[in-house]
Amino acid sequence: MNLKEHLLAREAVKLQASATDWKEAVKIGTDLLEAAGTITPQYYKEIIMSVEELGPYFLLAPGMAMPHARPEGGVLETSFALVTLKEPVNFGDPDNDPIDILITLAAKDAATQNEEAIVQVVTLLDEEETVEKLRKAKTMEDLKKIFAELENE
Amino acid sequence: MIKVLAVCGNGMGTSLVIKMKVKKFLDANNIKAEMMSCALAEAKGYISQGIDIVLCSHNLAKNVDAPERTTLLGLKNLMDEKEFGPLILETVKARFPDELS
Repeated sequence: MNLKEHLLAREAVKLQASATDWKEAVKIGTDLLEAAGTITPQYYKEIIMSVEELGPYFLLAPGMAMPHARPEGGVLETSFALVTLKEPVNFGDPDNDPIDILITLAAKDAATQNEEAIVQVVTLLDEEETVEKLRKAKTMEDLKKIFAELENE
Repeated sequence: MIKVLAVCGNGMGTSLVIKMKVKKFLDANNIKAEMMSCALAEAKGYISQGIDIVLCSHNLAKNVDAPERTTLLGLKNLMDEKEFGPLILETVKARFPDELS
């Protein structure tokens, strides 16, 4: 299953969401995956604990985060959630803050299985133009259009 | 052939992003490299087997023990070739000049 199907099939998308801090922002993504039944409530706690221990290790680039923890931290099924924020939040990393695009990753097993999905995350976030469109997207239709454009390239 | 290891918290997320971006960069620059990725907890084991360059988020760098023969590069922006590219080229030039064609 590709990233688009992952997101659309499980309705694991929340665009223009509101969060007061980074924990709340992470929780919007994990709540989506909990509702989809692909992670346990423990997964959110694992992410928060890891950040408190290691710092925000999953910031990819300015504005972009890929929150995730270890598979044994409550992953039931490999899945993704996409969250964009109306107002960005800070994770405590001046080089990448503030963050307004989060792709929550729950990986069930070995790296090779997920590599394909990660390729798609990178593809989605690689082009500045696509990222800008993602930031502005308000509806699932907007999102579908972005994916369609990516596929046509 | 240089050995490059990407490290992240769990070995399944960020390190794969780094691996992918850096592999593309090395190929484009004709630098032959074996790219690996792993979790922070596994990094020590990998490094002890001989790794030339370790890449990770600068947030994690302080948690990685690198011996003298291993160059540790902590990255701020994991997807920006403009940041990691020059760092890698500099390292290869200084330590593995034969790898540059």
